[in-house]
Amino acid sequence: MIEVRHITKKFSGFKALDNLTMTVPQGSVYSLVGPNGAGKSTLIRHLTGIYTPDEGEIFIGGKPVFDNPEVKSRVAYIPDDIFFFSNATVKETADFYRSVYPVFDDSRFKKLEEVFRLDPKQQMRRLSKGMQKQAAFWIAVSLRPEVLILDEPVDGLDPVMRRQIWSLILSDVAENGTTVLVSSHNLRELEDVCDHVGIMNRGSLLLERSLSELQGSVVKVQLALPDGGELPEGMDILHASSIGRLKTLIIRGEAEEISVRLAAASPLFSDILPLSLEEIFIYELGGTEYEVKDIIL
Amino acid sequence: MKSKTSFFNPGLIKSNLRRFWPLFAAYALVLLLTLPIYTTIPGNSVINTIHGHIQTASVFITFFMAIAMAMAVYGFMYNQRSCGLISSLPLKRSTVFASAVFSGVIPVFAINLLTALAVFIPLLVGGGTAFEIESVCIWLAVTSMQYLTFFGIATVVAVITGNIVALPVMYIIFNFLSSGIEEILRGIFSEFIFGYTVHRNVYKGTFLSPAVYLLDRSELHVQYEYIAYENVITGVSFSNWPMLTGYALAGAALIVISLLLFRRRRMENCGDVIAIPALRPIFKYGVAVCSALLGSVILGIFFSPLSDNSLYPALYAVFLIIGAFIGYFGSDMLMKKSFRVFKGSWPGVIVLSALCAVFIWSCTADFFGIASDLPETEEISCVEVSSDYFFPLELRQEASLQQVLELNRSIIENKQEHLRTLVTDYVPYDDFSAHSITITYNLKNGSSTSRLYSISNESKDYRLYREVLTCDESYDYYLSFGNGIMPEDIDFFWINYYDSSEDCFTGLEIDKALAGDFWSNAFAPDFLNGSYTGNNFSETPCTLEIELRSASNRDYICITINPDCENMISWLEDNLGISPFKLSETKM
Repeated sequence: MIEVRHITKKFSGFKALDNLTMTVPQGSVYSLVGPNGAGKSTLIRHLTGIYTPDEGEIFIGGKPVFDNPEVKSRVAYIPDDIFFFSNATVKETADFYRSVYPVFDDSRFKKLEEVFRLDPKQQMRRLSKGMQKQAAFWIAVSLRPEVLILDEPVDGLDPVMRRQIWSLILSDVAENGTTVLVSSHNLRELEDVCDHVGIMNRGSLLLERSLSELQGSVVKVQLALPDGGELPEGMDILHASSIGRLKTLIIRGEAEEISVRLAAASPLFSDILPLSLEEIFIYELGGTEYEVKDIIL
Repeated sequence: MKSKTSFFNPGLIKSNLRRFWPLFAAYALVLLLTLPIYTTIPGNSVINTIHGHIQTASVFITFFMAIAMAMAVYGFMYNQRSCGLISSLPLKRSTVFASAVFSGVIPVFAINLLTALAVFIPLLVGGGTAFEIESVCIWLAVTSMQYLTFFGIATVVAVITGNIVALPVMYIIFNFLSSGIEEILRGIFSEFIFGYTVHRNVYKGTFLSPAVYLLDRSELHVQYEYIAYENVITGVSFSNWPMLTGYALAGAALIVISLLLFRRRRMENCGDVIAIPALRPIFKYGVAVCSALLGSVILGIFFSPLSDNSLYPALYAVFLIIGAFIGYFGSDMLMKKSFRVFKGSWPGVIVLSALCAVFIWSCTADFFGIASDLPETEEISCVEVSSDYFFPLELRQEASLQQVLELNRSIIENKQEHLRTLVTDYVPYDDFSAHSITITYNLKNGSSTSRLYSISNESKDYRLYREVLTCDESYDYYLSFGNGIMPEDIDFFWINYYDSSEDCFTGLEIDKALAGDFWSNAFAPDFLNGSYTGNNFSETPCTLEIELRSASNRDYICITINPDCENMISWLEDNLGISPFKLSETKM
């Protein structure tokens, strides 16, 4: 659905995006994650037609995005820092979007008033940050977009509203095949909703896989070796730590294959644990000099 | 699915109208107060009000309204968040831009029309004259075209800059830049090029400063006919439709150019002083040059008493260089938003400094030969000679032209002598040891060139000047008051003189025959024998303010009688009983 092909973007000589290629399948919930300054927001601004790349192309539904109203009319975007016209009320903001977008589901907008419980006559600037975000979601889902692009979407929302919003989004994905691209640092939450992950660092996409493939390609192993016992050679160990004789290893590879290889070392204890998305993020970036460092003050 | 891809977007326009209605209301209020309501005040006629409005008020009002509207409708370009919102909407960039332009122009035109109707309808109902109605229509067209001009300028500046504070600053600079630079250059040339001046204060580059040009040349011409000693309106017209039409078209063209720039504008540059990278070097060097010129202005303000010092040109060059330095690095700091700009930027400022020095040298050395460049006699249509104290003279005969050229060449040859002569505003009012003379050559090809010199009364060139003033053609010119009224044509002659005994001015009407007699037999001889040396407002109680009126003309002349004007003094005593240098009684 969303295709990014070899885009490069420089700001005053600094390469914010470096030959980046990415594919977001239709109907997927794609998590775009990365450290601060990786270029996530910059990429998102390209996807929404705000920026134009120095090199490369961006397509949504097979058509270029930039200055293309037909494509952009199918995309709803909620930025991390929401802008609204000064003195505009919720209703006036909705009316504005209604006048600009070809589709606005008034009945859905009315139904969701019970969910979001915001006063449509209230000025946007008088709402709290979380309520502004709610208003943004309210309007965005009323647009019935085919593509929903979210930058830090649930930042500032209370837990109940978060669940509510994710529930809305996922039901749209399930019923209408909406494609969702979400950028967030809240990996624990993303793990519950996304089915594809893209990890960015320094303007490039380090890896891009479905969540299941990702989780299947890296395993966490806890084991205790007998005295004099050694780990089998040739294993791609991303991280190793130990507490006494208990070792915790993050190993790249299939769980079954690793289990077989470790068995050859006759460990006293061995257990394979699922990795969280947060752990995958941390350990995948560890090889790129963006690892957790011990700081001695 | 409804299509939203028309050239304008009603939603954006409606949003702009809703958000910016206070601006429109303020504009409407100002227009209503200064035009329709103003004309209801007794003594304020419609034509006079519109005359004043077109000449000044409408230029100011449209100037400021244009920038206010530009800041409003293009304001989304200067903030990352608003930029993000607008750019992510399913609208073509041309639609966004066109909607902004529409929001900034059409409501203002509508308000202009409503204001015109507010004046027009009472005139229709109350029986206004055709000229009053015509003047209202002229006002509507002029104000709208002025606004389009200024809005076009504001639009192109709005697209070039990415910073909302820089927008009004650059807009104001843009409107006055050409005139300002020309004024400063004129000052520099006047300082260093002997005799350099500008013909009748005409600035050739002023048309590039629309605010200045429009203020200077926007006028509702009211044609009067002098019928039975009354001024009767016979027509109204605007002073310069081609100029205004040209400006309005230029404004429209700038809007189109702005659209082309906007479509390619990189939204990540919002917040930058110059949002279009290709224009950044132009901005940097432009600011450096302007800053260099301002450096010379500062020099002039604080160090002008040193102007006759031989090191003054070097000091001038130093101030230019300091100004260039400040402007060069200052503009870089603005663009890079950092004070750390000194590394690696020196070649540019060194070259600029060298150019400043070369510029001053070329002026002092008169490298282009401007000072000695005089036209040939056959190229001249007429020459105007004027000074502080004499009526301006206009000569056309070949002999007179040659005499003037001979005077001019002699002045240039004696340049060093004249450079020591100082004529300034600070010379005591009764010190007439020097004259400031302007010679303007009007050429047959339509162009003009002027020279301005200060010459001492003791110099040989002053005697040549007096010869020009008293040549045959000069005498005939003065005799006809320089305006075609001969003594026998005088219909009205009024003398206003200061009576020191009463400590007031007293006026007398002189009959036609007596007036002609005064001019031919009192003034003319004193003028020809050199005793009348012009209007030196020195310690004389007798300044004659003469109003001349003929059937087709009307003029005022001022003559100051000095103690040497024996013919005029005795004529006044003999015919009017006025003794300018004694206590006197008046005799009607």
